[in-house]
Amino acid sequence: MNAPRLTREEWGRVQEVFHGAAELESERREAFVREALADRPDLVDRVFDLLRGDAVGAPLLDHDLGDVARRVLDDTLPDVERLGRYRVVRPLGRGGMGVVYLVEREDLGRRDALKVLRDAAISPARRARFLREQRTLAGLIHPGIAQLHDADLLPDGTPYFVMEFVDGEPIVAHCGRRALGVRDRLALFRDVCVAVGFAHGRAVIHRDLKPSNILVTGDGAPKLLDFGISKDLDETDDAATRTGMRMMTPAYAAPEQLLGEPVGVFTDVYALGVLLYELLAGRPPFELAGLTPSQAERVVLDTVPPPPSRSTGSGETPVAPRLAGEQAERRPADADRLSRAEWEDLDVLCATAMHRDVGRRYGSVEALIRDVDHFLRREPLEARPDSTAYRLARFSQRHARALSATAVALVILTGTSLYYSVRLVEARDRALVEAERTRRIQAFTENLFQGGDDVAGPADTLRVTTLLERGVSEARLLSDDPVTQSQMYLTLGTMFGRLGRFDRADSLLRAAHAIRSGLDAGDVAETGVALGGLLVEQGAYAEGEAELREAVEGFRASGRGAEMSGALAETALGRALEGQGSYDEAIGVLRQAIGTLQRIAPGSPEHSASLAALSTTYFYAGRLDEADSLTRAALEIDRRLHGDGHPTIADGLINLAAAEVQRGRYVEAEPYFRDAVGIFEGYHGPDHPETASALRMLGNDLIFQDRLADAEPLLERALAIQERALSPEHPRLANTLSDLAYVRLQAGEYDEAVGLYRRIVGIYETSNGPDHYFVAIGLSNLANALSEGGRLEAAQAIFEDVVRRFTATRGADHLDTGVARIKLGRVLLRQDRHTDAEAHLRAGYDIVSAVAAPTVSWLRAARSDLADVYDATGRPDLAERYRMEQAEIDRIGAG
Amino acid sequence: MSIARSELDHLFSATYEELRRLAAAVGRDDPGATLNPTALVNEAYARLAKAHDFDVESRLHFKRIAARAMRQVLVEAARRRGAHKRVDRSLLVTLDDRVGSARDVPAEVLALDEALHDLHEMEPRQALVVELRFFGGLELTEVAELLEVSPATVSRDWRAARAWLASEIRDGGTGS
Repeated sequence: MNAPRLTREEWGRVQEVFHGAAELESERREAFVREALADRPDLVDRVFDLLRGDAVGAPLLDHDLGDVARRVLDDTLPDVERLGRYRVVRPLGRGGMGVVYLVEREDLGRRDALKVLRDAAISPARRARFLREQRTLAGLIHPGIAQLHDADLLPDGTPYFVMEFVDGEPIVAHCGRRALGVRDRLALFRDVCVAVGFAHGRAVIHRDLKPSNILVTGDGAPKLLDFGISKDLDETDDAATRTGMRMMTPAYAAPEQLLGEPVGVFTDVYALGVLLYELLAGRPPFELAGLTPSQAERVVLDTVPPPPSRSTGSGETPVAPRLAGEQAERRPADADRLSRAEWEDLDVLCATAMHRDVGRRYGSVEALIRDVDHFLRREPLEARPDSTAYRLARFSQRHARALSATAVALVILTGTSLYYSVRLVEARDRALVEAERTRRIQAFTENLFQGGDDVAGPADTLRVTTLLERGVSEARLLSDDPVTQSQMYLTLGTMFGRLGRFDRADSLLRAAHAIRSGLDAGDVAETGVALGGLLVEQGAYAEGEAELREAVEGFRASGRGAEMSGALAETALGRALEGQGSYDEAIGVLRQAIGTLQRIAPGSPEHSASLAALSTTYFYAGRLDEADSLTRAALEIDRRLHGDGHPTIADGLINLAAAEVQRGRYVEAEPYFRDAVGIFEGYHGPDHPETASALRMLGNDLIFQDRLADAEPLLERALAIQERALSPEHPRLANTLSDLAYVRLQAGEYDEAVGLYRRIVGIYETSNGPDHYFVAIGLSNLANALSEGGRLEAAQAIFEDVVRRFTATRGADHLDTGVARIKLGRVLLRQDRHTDAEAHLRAGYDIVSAVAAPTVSWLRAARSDLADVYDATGRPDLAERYRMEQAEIDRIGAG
Repeated sequence: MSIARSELDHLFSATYEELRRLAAAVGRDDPGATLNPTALVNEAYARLAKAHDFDVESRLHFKRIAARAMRQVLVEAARRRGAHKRVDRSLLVTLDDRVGSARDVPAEVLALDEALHDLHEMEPRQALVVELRFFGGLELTEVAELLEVSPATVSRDWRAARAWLASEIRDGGTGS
């Protein structure tokens, strides 16, 4: 009943009547239509058709388009067995562009992922984009990117390509399931960044980075998938960019993508930031579930997500209870163990990577990677919107106790150097005035350094080092202003020296010294003091002494109110002389310095430092009482300057304790050690390496008091701290291990003792080299433990090795060689190898008695063992002689 | 405003992806997504349009092109799906209002497309009204503004066109 088509005029007439009729009640319509079309009865049925259609509705028009689309766009995966030369194993999934299958190429026996473009004919642009992805992948050969293997057309012209099948799980799921900690997650994230950076280096932006596109394989390596909407950086086709924008997953889309603005490498940086956020917080930054695209877009554009720290519940605001359980499984396993300062850095990292303002985001993936590395190495981040304030905050928090002095000093330093860079461009003469200010700042900063910054641990030192290196870069720019530049070098070099970076300190101070060689004598002397002090610290006493003497002379010559500087130079010179054992001259120079300081700066840190230097000299010169009184004088000043809880006070107390130990008054030393431990615990915290050192000293003192049971827990605690805070080969561990091994040995726990001594040997081998005599000492202790435990043959072999080592490194007549031979003799004796035992015992006895007092325990042991040897070999007269000798010595000692 | 040929291609691609997304959202039974798919289309186009930084007038013009693209993509997809199927005429004539019964929607899309061609012969403006409203998801007032007629006229056009399409498709307007 298909009616012929109406003309425009006829259709106009028909619908006019239709509209009129539709206004009426239904029973009046027919009459109305017939009357209105009296001249065209052939059109009457057309109007009736319309009225029926109006009542019934068009099949499609009354439904929504999405519903229609779902039925028109076939969403089922084509069921195929073979695609080209590939056998289909199973479908893997479908994306916007195409369908992906797991396939096997039978001739190679290899499993791949095959992606075939769906509805290839619908749009040439889709086809072009598919081919572009293929081309892009072909150019990206990197272990972190799924590789393209093959590409071709199906018989009907549908393009497909074949790529590496990545058998893994999405990165977020992987981290959650493996319960990875923050550092592991960051390491994985860093690998992802490297792969993305590689693509950027090939001028490809991914534009769709999200967890489902980053799989982690069984061996823990992340791989990027789906460059389906990637963009070539040099591509000028803006429309492609815009089309790509529409493909993005809103949760990971950068604001510029949502706004249709130009995209760039920074767009991937944003997505990486979102990924990092999710890895750290255990949930995405934006809750977009159930939102329409435009609602989601508003959320992303208009809201600022809580920092990941708070999202994980580590900050002040607890995690929302309803999220806690599920999220707890996905966030880093160690989320609660990170310090607040560390979380703050991670917050800054995420916030910078995700910054909605492209200009304030990391400009490149490399910049993002650098800050990830800075975090992993505990260095300051580069991501600094307001850097000086950040560093001030950063350091005053991170090092609130341990490194506060350093922190403030460095902030001032950095601020100053930046200030200079700007000022010098503006006004040259002003800079010279400011140089004087710098000098004051330098003095200030160095004073602030008194708080034991050298023990803050290697990690914190690295962070500080980064700041200093930045200062160096800035100072280099000042080459046309030698006064300021040398001042900067001097300050930076001094700080490097305090951090133990002697190489950097040396080159900077020498540079400063060289710059000043043509300048004022006082200025030259100033750098000379710093350089000389550094040389002394490195053990180059003679060279340091020469520099310092020159500096002292320089200050005397300059005469212009250089008394303070002169006194500091004298203090440094005194230390250099003390280091070389020239105690008398050192005492003279130091007394002079103290005299000056007492006059011009009584109670100053410089005054205290010179007193401490003289105290040390007296101590090593064996004048313990004078050392003590100077230590107490320095302590009095330090207490006034820093209060009772400052590490400087603990240092003084340890000096007092050391003198008591030297006197053999171990009981008297104990309270000093205990007070020092208390101060370090309060200042650095109970788990700080400095606390551990003091604990170990206290434990050692208790061992001397024969209170092994009391010593043991202290030493265990010290060791636990040091194992956490120091590298496993750190020499400080050896001291603690040694004390602990002694405790074990005395308790008859031979195997434990042997194990500890073996560790010590390993430490010495690593830190001193395999031929150092420390290694021989460690081996000797090891053999001793073996011998005590009855493992005589093993002990003998090691003692023989020890004798060889000492003979080579210390000399055949050295005390150490003698002692080792006595020990070897004893092990031989206990195996009834009397001839060999006698030879070593006799040789050892002769060597040791030539250099040591007859009362030492080694000679006592040798006499006793020799007597046994002679008894056993039928020479009672010789045995009697050694017994008599010992009795005589005992008699004299007792009398 | 003019849109280049290559840009049109991309527009069709984008439309296709958008339809895919809509279809997926409906398929998932996502309550947020099924609220109003037409609004979703609208938003999608609004976003597309933003990329071009149009003023209001050209934005509407752009929507017109987008609606055409949507129609074309759906028709092409329906044609490909229907290529190896016979249209079951009896199922086209149904009063069932719920999508989900045994209807052949691709065939209905093709029938609608063909009927729209006929309508275009009789009154191009009415065909356009249908295209804009159904495929483009434009509001009545937007259509009126774009076509420079009153909303009342658009309303009348839509009603007449809808009635005609209904009768035409029911009557086997595909002509097969």
